[in-house]
Amino acid sequence: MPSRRRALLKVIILGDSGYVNKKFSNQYKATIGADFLTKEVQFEDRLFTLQIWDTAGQERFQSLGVAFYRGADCCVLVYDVNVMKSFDNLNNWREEFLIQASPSDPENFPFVVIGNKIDVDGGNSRVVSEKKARAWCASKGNIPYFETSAKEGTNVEDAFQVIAKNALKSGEEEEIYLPDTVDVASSSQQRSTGCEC
Amino acid sequence: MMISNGIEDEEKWLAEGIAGIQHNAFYLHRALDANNLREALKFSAQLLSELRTSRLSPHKYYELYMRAFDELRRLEMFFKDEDRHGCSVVDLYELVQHAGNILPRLYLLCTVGSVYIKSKEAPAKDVLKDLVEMCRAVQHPIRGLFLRSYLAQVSRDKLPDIGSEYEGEGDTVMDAVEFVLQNFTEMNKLWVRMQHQGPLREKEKLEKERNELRDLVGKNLHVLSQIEGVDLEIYRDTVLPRVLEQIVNCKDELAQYYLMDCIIQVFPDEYHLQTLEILLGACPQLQPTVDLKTVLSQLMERLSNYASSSPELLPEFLQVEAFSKLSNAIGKVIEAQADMPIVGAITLYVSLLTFTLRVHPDRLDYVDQVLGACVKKLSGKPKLEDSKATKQVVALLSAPLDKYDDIVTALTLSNYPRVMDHLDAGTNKVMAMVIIRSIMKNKTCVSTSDKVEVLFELIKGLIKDLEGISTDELDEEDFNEEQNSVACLMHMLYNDDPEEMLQIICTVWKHIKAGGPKRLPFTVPPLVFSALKLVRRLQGQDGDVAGEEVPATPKKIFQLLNQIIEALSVVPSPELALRLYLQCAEAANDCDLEPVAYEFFTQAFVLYEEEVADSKAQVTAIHLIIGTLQRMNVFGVENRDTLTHKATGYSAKLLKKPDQCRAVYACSHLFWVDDQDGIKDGERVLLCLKRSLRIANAAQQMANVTRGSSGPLTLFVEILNKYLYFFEKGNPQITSSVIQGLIELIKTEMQSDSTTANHASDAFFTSTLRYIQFQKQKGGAMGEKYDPIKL
Amino acid sequence: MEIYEVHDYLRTVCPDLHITRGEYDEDTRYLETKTLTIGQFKLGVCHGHQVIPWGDLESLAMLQRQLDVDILVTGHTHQFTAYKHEAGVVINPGSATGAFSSITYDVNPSFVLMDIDGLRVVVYVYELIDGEVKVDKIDFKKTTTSTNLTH
Repeated sequence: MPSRRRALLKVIILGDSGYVNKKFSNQYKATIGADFLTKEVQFEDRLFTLQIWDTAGQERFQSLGVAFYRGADCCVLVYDVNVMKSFDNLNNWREEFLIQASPSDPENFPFVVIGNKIDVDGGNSRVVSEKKARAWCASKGNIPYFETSAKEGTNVEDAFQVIAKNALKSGEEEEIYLPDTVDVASSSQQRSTGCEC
Repeated sequence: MMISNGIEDEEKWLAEGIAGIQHNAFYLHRALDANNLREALKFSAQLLSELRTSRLSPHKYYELYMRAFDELRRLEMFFKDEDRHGCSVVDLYELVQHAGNILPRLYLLCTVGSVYIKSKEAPAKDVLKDLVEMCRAVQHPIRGLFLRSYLAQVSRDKLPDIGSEYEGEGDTVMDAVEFVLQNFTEMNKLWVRMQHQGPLREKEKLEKERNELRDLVGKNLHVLSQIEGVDLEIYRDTVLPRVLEQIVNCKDELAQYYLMDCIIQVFPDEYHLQTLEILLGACPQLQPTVDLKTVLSQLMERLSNYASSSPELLPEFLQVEAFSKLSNAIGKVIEAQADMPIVGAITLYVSLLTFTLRVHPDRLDYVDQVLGACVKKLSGKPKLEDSKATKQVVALLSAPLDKYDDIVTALTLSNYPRVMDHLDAGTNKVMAMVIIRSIMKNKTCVSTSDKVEVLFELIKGLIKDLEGISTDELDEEDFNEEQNSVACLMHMLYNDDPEEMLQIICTVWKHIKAGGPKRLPFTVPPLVFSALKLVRRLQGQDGDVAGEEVPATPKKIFQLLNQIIEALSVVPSPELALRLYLQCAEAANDCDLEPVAYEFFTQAFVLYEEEVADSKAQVTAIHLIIGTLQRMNVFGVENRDTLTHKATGYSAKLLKKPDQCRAVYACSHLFWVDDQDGIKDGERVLLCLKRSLRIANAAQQMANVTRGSSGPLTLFVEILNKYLYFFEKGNPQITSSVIQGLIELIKTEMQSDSTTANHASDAFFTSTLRYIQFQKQKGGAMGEKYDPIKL
Repeated sequence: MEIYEVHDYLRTVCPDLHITRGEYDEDTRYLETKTLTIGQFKLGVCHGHQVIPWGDLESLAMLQRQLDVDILVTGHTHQFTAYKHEAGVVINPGSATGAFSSITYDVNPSFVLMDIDGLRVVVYVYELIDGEVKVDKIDFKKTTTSTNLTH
């Protein structure tokens, strides 16, 4: 497969606390529907475009469902180290993703976990220890683990490097479509039932 | 199978659509790998034709759309790379417009357009304007909404925002805002119009589908909120008015409710706070069926959270007069939505009150104002019957109690009782219980008679019969629980100042005396004890103090107590009254008020003679009389003689012989009080004991006659123990030989009646003898005293 | 007046609840006295308003002999007391609520726990004095199964 096609990688961010745009926002603003932005990442002398989908986990503003999970190359699970429930929910998010995105090899699908907001209250309000988070990641097939602060977004770049690396690995096993030997190109247009607009 | 259900059909159509996309994608990929622009355009247009379907619901269409979307990203990468296709972006922009069908053509145009902007070969605003105009060509709601949402998505990171690379050279953030607003307006129109398409019978399905599409429209507001350049000024002057204009004008309930919710959720709190008037101003203009109570509740919740995030924000809230703006808006909304059920209005007030309590906990006037508005809404209407509405009123009235943990604060709210007046009798009682529980839980002391007055006015549903409900209809268990709560409540009414405390007692009495025969037995005793506690505090400071204001004196309190206990006669509850009179008598004794004590005894005796008829009740009553009288030391000889004479007389007249016997020997203690100054009349003690022995004999003879055997000897052993008691106390009338005689008598009786051995009395006698033995062996004066008694 | 709430509460403390009649209980289903056997000990329970003079040890001792019990538990005076008396113990746990009493001024709320173990009983007294809980321990031992006690 020509390498340049892999230059675009689709990443889904899931979790109770959203990773909003460039930074983790302190002030609450809801995200409506799925929102993505692109980010260029350099990995092993090659430039990748990451297409990052963020949902902020609000079902209320997800009226069309989660069809955008499909075709993801990597899934990033985010939790708030100050909120135990957000950590407890990681597993739900992981399973939900695997069901909805139905990747061809769910056992080896690349995930990344990010523990967010480690700087809140100087770390005093932290309730999920790094050890605990790493243990969970290890139990789920050695998921790479990163911690970031709300204000500075430290380690985010490292995370993206790993995301690119892992997504690249999975992308190589992309499903392959083989067309029928019959050329249906012309008939497919007739099948379309839309109006002539 | 020609007839299959719609869902199966849809699955089939979706599968066909996906197959069509996959098929064309295969050839598209080949074309991209071969850098073949013409083929790439051909297959991408064919691929996009799958989106022309009208057969899918929004959910399924979205799945199809996402497949196409993913393929378009690859195409976009290809477009960006001029080296690969050798066509300038400007030419490309022209070229894609040759696609046959309009929908594929516009998807391709948007895709190239995004590359065009990125190339900066034309001002972003021109391209955006062109695209947003061109998209008008698709007027089918679902296809149009998805197309425009595609446009919104691909242009999202190319808007001429502040700090973005697309800003400058005539491209300003206002262009970005203008573009998104226009797209939003067009999308909302498509969305609203959708309801008019399709047959009436499918209305429900159509509404469901419309609802699924809502986030496509709302997405534009999210994009606006993400534009860095939209500062407060632009938001206030352009974004918000324009969005609200569209919301108001579309006159569609679903759109209005959803988009108001979106505004509240996507824009920052500080913007809301600074534009409250504008946002709230739109509310009364919305359709009367829009669920504004949910919308406004969410707004107030956000603002409360915001306020509590930092204490520094409070001045801002005050400066913009957030409370009065919200309060006014709610008033207008309620007015505008004439059909809003009462529960909706009250829910709004509950939200406003919650906001007030969180943001301005010190502003009791605000709280009272909210309650006042509620009263206004409720006035002129019959008492609430809607259970949801009453639940909300209970929530409204409970909120200040929970917040302040202190009923006393709520008591200062003038509108509080007025809201309560609108509750039906049942809910009124529920609320009264909530109030009492709050007091008990927080151990709140209610310390003035004024507050007690307000409090009892609030809980009057528990204190007396309200119109329409008589105590006969009530569930007894609930009634008892309520009245016990009232009784507990009385312990929380207290003031250190005796004068104020007396006022409190008088106030309580004023309220509870109308309680009727079912309530008084619960409410009178705690009030009596409360008054007795006050008496005890005043003990020693007897005597009337000259002056205009007569201070609280024990005498005055005893007069009141007399009245209070007398009220029990309507119940009637003579046994309870008798006990309370005796308590008062003892208190009067402690205050050295002989006539008062005598009066209370007289009352108790009158009740005993006239009202206590049950023989068992008489036994208990007589023991209480003797027990109390035994402790009295205030009486002079004359009064004392009268009372003891009466008491012994009652004792000897009890119905059952054993009861007589026991009461009479108990009377012996009336003549021998083991205090330094206590009366010590040995002869009369002996008389009592002898009399009780005679009764015991008579009891035994009766047993002989009726059962053919002498009864148990317990009474004799009891009397023996009494002899021992006075013997030890040094009563000269009780000698060792008298005791010896009694022991022999019991022994003889026991032997003569071996057939009816009674374990209880045998054991009693044995342990009494063992006691004598123990005393004998003790040595010293006591041992010596016991020495003559032989076992 | 029946206060089921109080019964329910007491049952949460101990499901094996025994009640004797107090002077304000008009309900005649409560007995005047009750005897129970716990381990090697025989206990008597009586409110105490029936025993005149009220709270008088010698008079209570007579009731103890009458019921033939090792330990007599009584009340009425709202004052905690514990006496060892010839053939046993007389305990008044006082008033758990510290309610008003004509007999006792300044009632301190109090209750007791008795730990009965073989021939030994330890009585723990909890008394609330000026806002502070004072705990006292009183130890009794029965030498034989007879009711003789040693100190």
